[in-house]
Amino acid sequence: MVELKNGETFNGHLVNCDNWMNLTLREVIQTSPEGDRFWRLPECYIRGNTIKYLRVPDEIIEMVKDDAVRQRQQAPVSNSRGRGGRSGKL
Amino acid sequence: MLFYSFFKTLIGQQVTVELKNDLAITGILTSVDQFLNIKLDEIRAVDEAKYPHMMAVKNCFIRGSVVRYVQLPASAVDTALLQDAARREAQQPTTGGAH
Amino acid sequence: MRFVITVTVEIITADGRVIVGTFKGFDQTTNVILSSCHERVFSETEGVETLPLGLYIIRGDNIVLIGEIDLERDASVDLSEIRAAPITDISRR
Repeated sequence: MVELKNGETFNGHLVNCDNWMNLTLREVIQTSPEGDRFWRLPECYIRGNTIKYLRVPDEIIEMVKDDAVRQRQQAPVSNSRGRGGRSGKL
Repeated sequence: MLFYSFFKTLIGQQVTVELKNDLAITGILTSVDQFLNIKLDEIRAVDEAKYPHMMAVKNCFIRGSVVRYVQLPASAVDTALLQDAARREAQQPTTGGAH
Repeated sequence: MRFVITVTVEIITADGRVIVGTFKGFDQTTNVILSSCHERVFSETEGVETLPLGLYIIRGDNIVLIGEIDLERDASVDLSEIRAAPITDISRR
């Protein structure tokens, strides 16, 4: 669930995001700031700087941890490559 | 960068930060960054009766963009030095540029 | 080296909410991740109401203050006895 600075909320599945927190959601339910009007949208794009906060399912934080562990397991390889690349340029 | 450097000289001093939401907090300045975000230690709200919201908070980070005023101990500021530094910065409008 | 961050913090947002949770992460622009958060709703006529919220990502723009909570001091406070006006909303200026 995304709440915007104007109080509108958007409930949906996050399908894409970028470095500016711009988001694309699918199967969205939009709610007016007063919470009295609703719209169903098949898809929407939200500009990052209009966001107040995101409410995410609790399980997500566990997935992030697993992800980090997986990345660390791959890290030694990519690390040595990274160093090699940098020293090459120097 | 001048104000960033200036605030760094004030680390360790007791200051009062008034926010745009009218909340004023007193504490020891422990850190400042380039955005003038501020960290305070041993904090208390100036009007504790009106703001019990942070009773259990011992130290805090304040976003630079919401600060209205910072009250400083006059004894900690060398205004002559500050004016000097301001003039010097004004003479070199581009940082690390000309000369 | 990896260590688990378990600091309980209180965030005051630009719209005047007070959100308490476990600090999980932040970035350059003060975006913050809090887990197991709850909102403390202050009122002049009733004690503080606690609303469970869950896992939140709060955008830096919307953050006024982040305070580390002293758990001992927090436990000694009876929230139901506290009467205070909510913090001013500065988000629509």
